[in-house]
Order: sequence, then structure tokens, then C-alpha cells
Amino acid sequence: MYLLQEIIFVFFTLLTLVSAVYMAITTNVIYAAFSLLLTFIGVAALYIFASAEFIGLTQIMIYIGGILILIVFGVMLTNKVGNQPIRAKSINTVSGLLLSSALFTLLMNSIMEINFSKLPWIKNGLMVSGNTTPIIGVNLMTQYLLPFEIIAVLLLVALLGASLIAGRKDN
Amino acid sequence: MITLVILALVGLFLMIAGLFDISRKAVFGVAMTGMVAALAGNLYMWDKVPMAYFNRMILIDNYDVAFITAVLGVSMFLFLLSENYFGKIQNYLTEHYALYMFSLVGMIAMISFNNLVMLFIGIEILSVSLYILAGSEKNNLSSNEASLKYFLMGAFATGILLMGITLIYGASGSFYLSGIEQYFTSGNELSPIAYIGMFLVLVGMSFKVSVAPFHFWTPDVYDGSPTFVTAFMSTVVKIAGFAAFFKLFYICFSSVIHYWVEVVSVLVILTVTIGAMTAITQKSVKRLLAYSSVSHAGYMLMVVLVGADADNLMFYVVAYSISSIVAFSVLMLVQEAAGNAEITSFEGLAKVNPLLGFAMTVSMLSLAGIPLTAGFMAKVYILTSVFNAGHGIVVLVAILTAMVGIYYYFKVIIAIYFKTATEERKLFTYNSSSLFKIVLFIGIIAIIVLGICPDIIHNLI
Amino acid sequence: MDSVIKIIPLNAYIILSAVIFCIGIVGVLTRRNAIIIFMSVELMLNAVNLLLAAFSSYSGDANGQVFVFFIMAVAAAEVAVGLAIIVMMYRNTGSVDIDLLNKLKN
Repeated sequence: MYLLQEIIFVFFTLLTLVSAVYMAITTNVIYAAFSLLLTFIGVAALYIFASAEFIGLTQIMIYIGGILILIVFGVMLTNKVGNQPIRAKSINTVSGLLLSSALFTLLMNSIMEINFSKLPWIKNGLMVSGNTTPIIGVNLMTQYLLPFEIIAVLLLVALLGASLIAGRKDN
Repeated sequence: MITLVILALVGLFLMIAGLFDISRKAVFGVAMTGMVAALAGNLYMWDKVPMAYFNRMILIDNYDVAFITAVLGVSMFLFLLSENYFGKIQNYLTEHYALYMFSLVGMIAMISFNNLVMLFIGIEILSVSLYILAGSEKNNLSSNEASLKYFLMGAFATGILLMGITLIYGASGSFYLSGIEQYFTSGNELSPIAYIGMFLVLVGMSFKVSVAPFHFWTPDVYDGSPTFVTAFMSTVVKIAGFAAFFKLFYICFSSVIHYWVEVVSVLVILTVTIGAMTAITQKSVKRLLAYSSVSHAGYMLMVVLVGADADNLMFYVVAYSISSIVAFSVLMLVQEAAGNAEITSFEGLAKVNPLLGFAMTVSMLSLAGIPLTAGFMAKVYILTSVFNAGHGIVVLVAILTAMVGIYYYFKVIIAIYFKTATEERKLFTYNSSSLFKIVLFIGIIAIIVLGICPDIIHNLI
Repeated sequence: MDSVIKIIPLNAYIILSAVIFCIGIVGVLTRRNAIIIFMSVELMLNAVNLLLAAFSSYSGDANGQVFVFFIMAVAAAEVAVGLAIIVMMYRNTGSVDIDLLNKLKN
């Protein structure tokens, strides 16, 4: 009955995973940046599946429109594209894989043990229905007003710092 | 709350002031005045009914007032030493000051948080400012490396911390400390993701406060940053980090202490041991102080391990910060004169400049934990409470490593008193302004007074 | 949208984000190019965001999604500073390999 939705979900899951793995192993920095793009798109689609449409669109705007563009700029500013792409090798492959798979096993073990219907908030709560955007907006301006204002300080620090650090005028 | 607003406004004011041509003294004056005003606004909250602001996003009680006072007091103390550091900055002076003010905003948000959103944003404001300050010597490769390593490790730690927060939210359904506390104290069977969340939060916070084995970035970052920034990171930032760490674990997870107490005691043992063992071989005093800050982090973590007695933490951070600042101020002067921070640069310092030699000796004694100094009383309080909580092995390891510590702190003292300076070094003039002398005097007196009658600060909270 | 949520179990989201998170960790631990390490960190943050959004939707509590919003803002700030630092380093050393720094210093 829901076969189509399931197929689409699986498609985006695979897109996300495959491009994430490719990003982590490729030696070409430009390819890594582009596979990160696919990961971001896949995750954005998954947000929409989790009925977080606003977050999904924000993901496209902030991550793809902002962060990824900056990363590509970073790649271009730091790699001799005209000459030859700088190869980025891996080290500590074995120990890194071991540590990560240990954490993964731990996570999987506990996830498999969970009976989600037992969680108190799942038992009582209702699933989100309809549009969550107005709720997020109201929350930002009421309950989360202080973090919303303080994050302005963070953005200011970032602007200030980026121009201090990357500016050509030396101290 | 008013403290936070004042500091943010002072930061903004300084940035605007940068547009006009104002003197260095005026900038310094504005920053100091701002901090004094913030401190006054903070002390006004002392012993009032705990106040919650903005839908309980932050909640200020005596614990927070005490730690914010420590953060502001220590940074004012440190700013008195800033003349040489800021003197070297030719361009964008006010922006540097503004970054310090904003990092203080972050620390205050971090200490007084009542919701994990505030904790997260506070940590980020602090970290982002520090990444920049660590790299502020743009032409120095070590400074670049410090900045880059700190940034990459900091961002990685943030990711882990956030995963922890998310899993705890998944289990408890709340970001408020009270909601999480309720979930953990409810007595119902806890979801496995709550444990993993707790564990990941522990790892993330350990990264941020440089607890072993997550401390590997510390020596390079502390060594590469400008010495003033190193002093700032190893004192003020540590106070804020541990205040948040203790608050989070004390309020949220103390009811399930039996699940994490063993992990934390292993971390404590590793931290004090690795800190002491690696400090032995160091030839540079700056690196030695970096490793010593790792091993002191182990002692501060013991308070988290006991899960009670915020007084001990308060006393320890104050004693440690004052001793460190005295050590760093001497280091800054010696580094200025000799051009490097090697122990050999300290040889014969007592003859060339007795005040600096004596100040360094007192601070080393205090960091090593020799009786009659503040550092000794701080260690006694913490080790007593750890022993009473039944962690005999931790106390044993701590005492053994403290003895190792005496060895490397005394290496510096021996260099100061029993070695003779080279002819060239005898001619060094240590450019100590009157502000430096005032700080050294206050520091020495505070170390000794706190060592003899610790009750001035202890038992306040 | 209700129906879509019901056909995909919450478990799927949790496992998926655990996998993405671990890929990110592998990237951070094994790569030596500062930019790729940074991309891996972004991957970890994405895993966190996805999990938060899923928890939030399945519990009918919008707080999680607000948190995602804050994480995105912080990530944007971090990337600006981070790339500035990487560019500064490239300008001084001509490389973004984090091991090269140690060699250059000695």
C-alpha cells in the first residue's frame, strides 16, 4: 500500500549513505565536496519524510546554499586546481575503523534493545501532524528567545573572527 | 542576566569604538570598567532567591554567582598583565578586546545554563572566540597550528557532545535540566540510549576541558598560542568548563551515579598520571604548564566523581588559577627578555631579579601542593572528599603522581635558585611595569593567605 | 503526512543516523586533509540533526526541531571561522595537511 513511499525512502537513504561513504574515502577533495552535496540533499529529503518540512528546506538553504559553497571556496582557495588536484591520503585507517566500529556496535546494541513504545513521551505524545513551521516560529520567539538573541553574538564573533584571521593585513 | 547583557554591550561598544582613533589606555579602561560593572551586577545577585530568566533558559543561584565571580575576577586579574600582549597588536586592537568580552558572554551562558540549548551555545561562543585568539599571531606557524588543531578537535568534540544531548533528549523528551533530572530520578527503567547519551556527553565535555585520554590537542594548542591566550585558556576557560561540567552531572546524572562512577574514576586516574608523566620530560616551561594543567584537570574532575561539594571545586579553581597566573606572568616576562620559554632561560633568575624568582617559586610550590600554599589546601579538601566517598585507589594514585609533580616543579625552582645565569642573561632587563608588580604581589599574598586560612573562600556557596 | 511517519519506523532513523555519525567519525580519525576532516564533522552534525528531527516528529514536540535550527546556525558560524583558519594556514605553508605542520615546525 505504501510501497511507493518506502521505495522513495530507501532511495534517499542509499543516496545519503553511499555519498557519505564516498566522501570519507575519496582522495580527491573536489569529489568529496560534491558527494557531500548529495549527502545533504539526501538528508534534506529524509527530513521531509520525518515531517520536518521547515528543517528540510532550511537544510537546503543553509547547508547547501551556505556551508557547502563556503567549503567549495575553501577547496578552491587551498588547492592548486590549475596544476593538479592535491591528493589527500588517509592514515590510521585500521585504528580509526576499529574505534568507530566499536562505537557503532555499542550504538546498534542499545538501539536493538530499545522498545520505543515504552518511552514515556512516545506513549503519551501524539505524532506531529500537519505543518510544524508555525510552532517552530512561535517557539523561537517565546521559549527560545534568549538563545535566539545570544546566537547573534556567536554570528558576530564568527564574522569578526573570520575577517581578523583571513584578512591580509598582518598584525 | 545583567552581567551577560553588560558584557555583550561592552563588546559591541568596543567594536564601534574601533572606528574612531582612540588610545590604547582608553580601550583598556573601557574593557576593565565593563568587567567591573559586570562583576558588580553579578555580585548583586548573591544570596537572592534563585532567579530564572527567559522561560527558565538560565537560572542564577549562588553556585552560578560564585563561579561567574571567579571567571570575571580571574580575567580582570589577567587583563592587568595584558600590556605587553596587546601592545604588540598593531591593527584591530579593539576587535581583540571585543573577542575577549564575547568569550566571557559565552562562559556566563555556559555557567548559568538551565537548558542544554544555552549550554551548547555558550560553549560554541567561547570556542569560536578561542579558535581565533589562539591563531592571532598570524605569521607564527605554531600559532596557526594551535588554531587549526583546536578548531578541528573542538568541532569534533561539539559533534560528539551534540549526539549525546540528542540521545538524552530522545530518552527524556526534554532539554531542560529539570526535565532530564526528572527522567533520571523517576525510578522507571532507563532506556539504553540514555546511557549512551550520558557517555557521549561525558566524552564531549572531557574533550572540551582536556581530560585524558581526550587531552592530546592540549600541549600543542597551549604551546602554540600566544602566552597570554594560553594563560586565559588554562585558567578562565577551565573554570567555566568545569563549572558547566559539574553542574550538568550534579543536577542531571547524580541519581544514576553508579553507572558512570567507574568510567569517571578511570578518566581521573588516567588524567593525573598522564599529565604528570609527560610533564617530566618537558624542557619548555610553557609546555610544562600545559601538561600541569592537564593533571590539574584530573583533580577538578574528582569533584565531578564525588558528585557533591561544589565548594571544593570553587576553592580548587581559584587556588589553581591564581598560582597559574603568577607563573604565567613571570613566564611572559622571561619569554619577552630571553626569546624562548625553555627552563634554561630561568637559570639564575633569583639573582638577576629576586621578585620574579620568588613569585615563580611560590607559584610552583602552590601548583605542586606544598603545605602553607593555597594549592595544598585545595588538594587536601578534594582528596579528603574523594576518600570519604570510598575511592581509595584514586586517592593513592593522586598522591603518587603529586610526588612526581614535585619533581618537575622543583626543576624550575632549582634552575631559578641554584644555577647561575650566563653573562648574557645577567644583563636582561625584565620589563616589569608597576601593574605586573601589583599582580605578582597580590598573587603571592593570595596564595599564602588562602593556604593558611582557606575559609575565606571555602564554604561560601 | 501522518501516514508517511507511520510506515517508516523510528528505528530506521536512529540506525541511519548512527551509521552516518560513525562514517563521520571514521573520516575525522583517518583523514589528514583539514578540509576533509571538517566535512566529516559536518556529516556528524547532519546525523545529529536528522535524529533530533526524527525524535521531535515522533514525539509531537517541536523543541527538537528548534534545536536543529540552532545547530544549523552554529554550524554556519563554525564553517566561516574554520575556513578562515584553513586559508590562513594555507597561505603560510602552502598545504592543508595537518601532519605537515609538525614537520615544518621541527
